[in-house]
Amino acid sequence: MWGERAAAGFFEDVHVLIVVVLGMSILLASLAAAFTAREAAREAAALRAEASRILRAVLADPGVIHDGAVGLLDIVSIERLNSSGLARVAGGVHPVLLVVSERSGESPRTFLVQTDTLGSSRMSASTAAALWYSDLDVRAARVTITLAGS
Amino acid sequence: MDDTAQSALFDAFLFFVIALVASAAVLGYASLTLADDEGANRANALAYAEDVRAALLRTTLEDPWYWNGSGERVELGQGVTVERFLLEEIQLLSRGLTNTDFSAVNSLILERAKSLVRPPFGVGLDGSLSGGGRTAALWLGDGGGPPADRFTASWTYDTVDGSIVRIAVNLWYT
Repeated sequence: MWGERAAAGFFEDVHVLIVVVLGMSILLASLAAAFTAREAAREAAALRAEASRILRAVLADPGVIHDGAVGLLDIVSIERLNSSGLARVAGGVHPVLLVVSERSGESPRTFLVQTDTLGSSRMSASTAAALWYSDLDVRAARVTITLAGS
Repeated sequence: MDDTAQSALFDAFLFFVIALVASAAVLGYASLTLADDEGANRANALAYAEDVRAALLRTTLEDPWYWNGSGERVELGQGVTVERFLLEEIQLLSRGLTNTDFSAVNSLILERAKSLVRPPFGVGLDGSLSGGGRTAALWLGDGGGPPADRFTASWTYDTVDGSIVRIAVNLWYT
């Protein structure tokens, strides 16, 4: 049998319950947000490092550079570079897009090679390089690697 | 509300405040650890400056020229790299020519550098000659010189007359 305070006591405890549940919810939500942000940042950092590694691999690949000079790309090799060649140089599992954009010379050109379709999640790494046409014609170029995320 | 209920409500609010403080601490710590590593960013920017220097100095100019001391136009022909032109310019500046004598090609070099460098970086080149009883200074860029907070990639050249020429590419955040 209930006493006179039974029903009133329950309604008094509801206030306490709401405050405690609210506090716990905020604490758990902030922990979840911190964990999610950390995971996303870790994945982005890994993807950025991979894009930089592939960029360096392209700039130093003996099949792409002229006369063994790192950062001096041979124009004929760049023109002939196809998706399988880029996949070999990249040596990774992610789809890769290589863009070489000339910044000097008459009618500057842009070269684009892609190993596979890139998704919406991407990471890019870019640097400067030189394009060797001949000893009398060496052009400046921006080289960009865009890597698809998982 | 009796004393027990008031005490419970007070405890609940105390817990709520502690939960808020703990949440703020967790989020603050997370944002601090996720902030970009300044040292790594600086190292990357310096490596990029070196890439820009190497690429830019390797490129060739289209029929570069300058005015000599007697006001005649000196054509250097094809295949002259930016590096060779700047080396020659700095040597001639130390022998009495002025920046104006090279301004046409200097503008082309600066335009090329600006086109090559990716945002959000600004770029400028500086050169100097010291030793051998002569001095010279060169600045290609906006303003009178690079800002104090910059990323510099430089190279020095020993010349046959004992002087030392230095050419540097400076990048900074715009």
